[in-house]
Amino acid sequence: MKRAIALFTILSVAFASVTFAHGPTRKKVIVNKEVAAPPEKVWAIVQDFHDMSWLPVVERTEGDGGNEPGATRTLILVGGAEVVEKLEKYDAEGRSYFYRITDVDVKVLPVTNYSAWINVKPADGGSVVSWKGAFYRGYPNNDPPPELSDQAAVDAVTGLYEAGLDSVKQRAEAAE
Amino acid sequence: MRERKVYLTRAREAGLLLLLALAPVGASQAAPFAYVTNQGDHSVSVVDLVDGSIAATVSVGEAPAGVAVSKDGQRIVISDPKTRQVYLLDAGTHAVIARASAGQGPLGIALSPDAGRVYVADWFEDQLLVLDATTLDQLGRVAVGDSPSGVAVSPDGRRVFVSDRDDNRISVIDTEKLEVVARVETGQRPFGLSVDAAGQRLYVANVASNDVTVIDLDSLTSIATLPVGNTPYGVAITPDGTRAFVTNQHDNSVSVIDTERLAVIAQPEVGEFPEGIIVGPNGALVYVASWFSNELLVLDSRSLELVQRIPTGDGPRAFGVFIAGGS
Repeated sequence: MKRAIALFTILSVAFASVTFAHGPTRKKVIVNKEVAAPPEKVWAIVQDFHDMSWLPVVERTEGDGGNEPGATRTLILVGGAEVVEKLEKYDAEGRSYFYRITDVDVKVLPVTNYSAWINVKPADGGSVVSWKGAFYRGYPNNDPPPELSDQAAVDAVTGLYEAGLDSVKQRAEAAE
Repeated sequence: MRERKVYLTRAREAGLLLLLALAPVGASQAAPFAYVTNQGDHSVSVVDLVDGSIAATVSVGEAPAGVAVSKDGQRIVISDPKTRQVYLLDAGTHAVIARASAGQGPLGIALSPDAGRVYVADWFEDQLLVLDATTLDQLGRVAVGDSPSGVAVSPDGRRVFVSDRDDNRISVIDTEKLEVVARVETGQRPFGLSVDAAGQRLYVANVASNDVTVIDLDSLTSIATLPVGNTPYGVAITPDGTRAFVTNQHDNSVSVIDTERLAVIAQPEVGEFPEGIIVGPNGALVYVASWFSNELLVLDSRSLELVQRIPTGDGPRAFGVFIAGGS
């Protein structure tokens, strides 16, 4: 039993250091998409924290807590990888929410300490949907391998945001 | 526009007071400037605090983060964890006049009160480096805890405080012996920290536990843990020590602490992802760097009203004492 506890402690410590240690420079990505549909229509697609079907790589979403801060969700991706996320802020009136990743393998998304905002704003003839992320690269120490570099992190997040918001745009405009 | 006018009047008064105060020292004293490190575009925005204009944008390293300015404004040092160097800027031209390697990840940076020494936390090698502030030659090093981040110096210059982020404590360093003489437990992941002008208290922002640890500096014990907003980062204190301000990165807000009651009394919204924060020399204004929205916000320290937004470069961090005489 003692050994089991010791092992658990070692694992928790290792996990904690993986979760919290990060590289020297936080990066950001901002993607905005103009959508030819009213903001309420666009918001309806993204507003449910427990339905991320608008992001093509997400197969299904599990979780609980509704759209209240503290809610958690697990995104099950095509291929089986999982990403665990926690809702931090939710503003239905302002059509925005803020969440962070609490657990992800850097092989799935090469980032650490990731947080992101999604919001929908009215614009001329429709809306603008924005996805903004703040994160560190996947490799917490100096001299990262190329697949865990700052650039790799920025490229991966940018690709994700582009694909996700293209899908939102397509759905919203198809519904018009 | 009215806000701006009010700000200008106030700032002019502040500038005038500063000039008058410095007049006996010599007429060559520069105007007050804020030095905002823009980590996203390898530059420092030099903001003229008289009118909030950008006096210069200086190219510094690759990802500058930490900054320290001496009380007289004559010495400005910048840390860059990406190039692993420390930079010295000229107070007149704002240009980089010296640079030196400083460990593997220089981050938090502070000057001794006499501006003779630079203290730099090395995030990757878990040490505090001591540099000569004129030559940037290394004078010594002190092993501290895991992932040291924020650095602050006591007003008498005898102690340095370092946040050992991944050890959940601070290290207290004797600056004569260059040894750790005490360690004090904090909340989870301590980052920014600040000493009051009287040298009586240290305030430490704990990024992961969303609180501030208040440490009594006579007894070196924690006297309070104050819940603040989500993901607190930097701390600033008014010159009279009555108010402390804490940036909450994930709340886009600043927590205002009444230091006598040891309670948070307000939490105004500011720009997105606020980081570096400082109270100006006369205590009237608070300056907040907003990392996501690329601006320096100016707040009235009493009414907490926003008086000006100043655009900066990309990803301003301004981690440290980024205004001469700021606290």
